Amino acid sequence: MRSARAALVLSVSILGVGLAAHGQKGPINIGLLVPETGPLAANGKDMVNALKLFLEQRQNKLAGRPVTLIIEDDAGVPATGLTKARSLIDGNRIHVLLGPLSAAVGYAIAPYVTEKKFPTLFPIVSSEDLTQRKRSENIIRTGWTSAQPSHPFGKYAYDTLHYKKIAMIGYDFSFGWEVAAGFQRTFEEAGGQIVQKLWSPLGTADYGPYLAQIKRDVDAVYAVFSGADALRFAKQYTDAGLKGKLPLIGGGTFTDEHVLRTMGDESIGIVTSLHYSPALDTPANKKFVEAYQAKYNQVPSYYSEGTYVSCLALEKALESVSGNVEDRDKLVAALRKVDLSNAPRGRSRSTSTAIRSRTSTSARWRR
Amino acid sequence: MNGKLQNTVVHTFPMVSQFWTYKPEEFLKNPVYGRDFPPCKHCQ
Repeated sequence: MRSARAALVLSVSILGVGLAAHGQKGPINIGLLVPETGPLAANGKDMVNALKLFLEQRQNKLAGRPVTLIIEDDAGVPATGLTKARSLIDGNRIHVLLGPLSAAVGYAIAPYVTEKKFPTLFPIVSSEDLTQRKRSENIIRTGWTSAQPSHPFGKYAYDTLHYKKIAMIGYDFSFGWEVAAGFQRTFEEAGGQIVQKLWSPLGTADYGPYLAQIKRDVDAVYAVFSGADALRFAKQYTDAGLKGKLPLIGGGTFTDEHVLRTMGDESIGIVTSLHYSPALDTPANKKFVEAYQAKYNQVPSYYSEGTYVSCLALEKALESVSGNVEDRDKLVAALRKVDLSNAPRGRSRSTSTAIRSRTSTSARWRR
Repeated sequence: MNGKLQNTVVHTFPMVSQFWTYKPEEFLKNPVYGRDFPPCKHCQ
C-alpha cells in the first residue's frame, strides 16, 4: 500500500470546484469515485462514511489547507466510472482521485489515469495485475490484492486446521478465481489437495445445483462470495444440511461486516481470512472502530477501513510535500514512500515491488 | 455479543506481501491467477 498524510478539509459536494492557481493555497480537491446507486451502493456508502469521518476528525484540513470533497457516482458500471473520472480530471475539478470500489471500474479507469499521470488511490479494488504485471506508477493501492490474504490462509488450513482435501466454489470472474487461486497454491504446496472447483455467476439466486455437486468426501468447502451472494450461499448451504457436516471456510469478503450485519446463525463457525478485521485488538483499530460506531452506530467493514487507510496515506504524503498537490509527480512520489504505523489494520507500507500490510486475519463469527 | 454477530480474530500474520514468501521476479513469471491457474491437478 502507499500512504500519505495530509490535513484535509472536506465539504461534501457534487459541485465542481475550480483549482487554485499555482502558488495559491486554495482548497485541496479530492474526488471520490464510488457506487452510490446500483447493487454495490451499500458498500459504497461504507467508503463515503469512512472518508467523511476522517475529514471530520481533521476538521476538514490537510497539510494546512482546506479540503473539498467531490463525490461522483459510478454505479459500479465501467463506462460510467470512466466518464465520471474524465469529468473530474479533464475538468480540472480535483487534485487527487480516490476509488473506485468495483474491480471492473478500476480496470476501466486505470489506463486513463495512467496516461494522465494522475495521483490515484485505490482503497478497495483488489485485481492482482493492477500492482503486478500491469503496474501503474501513479496508482497507489492501499487495500489488498485478491490473493494476499489467501496465501497465508492456505498454509494455515493445512497446518493448523488439518484439512487435507478441499472443494472450492466461488465467483466465475477474476475476483473469485484470484482469491481461490492463492489459497489453492499454498494449500497444495503444504501438502493438501483441491479436488473440486465450482464457479457460479454474480447474482446466483439458487445455489441448489451447485450444492448438489459438492463432493461429500472432503474435509472442508472453501467459498468466495460477498454481499447478497454471500448471504444466499451461506443460508442455502445450511438449509441443504451441509453445515455441521462439511466445515465452511473462505475468502474474507464472505463474512466481512458488510454482510455479517444481516447474516444469521448460518455464519457461525465460518473461518475466513482478510487483511482487516474490526475485532483486531490494537489501540489504533479500537480508536477507529469506536469513532466509526459512535458516528454511524455500525461496525466498520473492510470497505470503510480501506478508505480510511487511503486517507491516512494521503495525509502523510501531503504533509511530506507541504500540501503542494499542484506538483503531481512529487505527490505521487510521496505516496509511493508512505509507511503507516497507525493504520487500523496495523503497520502498512509500500515498497518498490510489493504491498505489505501488517495483518492478515482469520476470523470466526460468533454471537 | 449483545445479540449481534461479531468476528473473533483467531490468527494474525505479520507484514504480508502481495507476493507472500515468493520472490517477486519469480512470482511475476507465472500467469496472473485465473480460472485455470494454478491448474486443478487433483480435480476429477
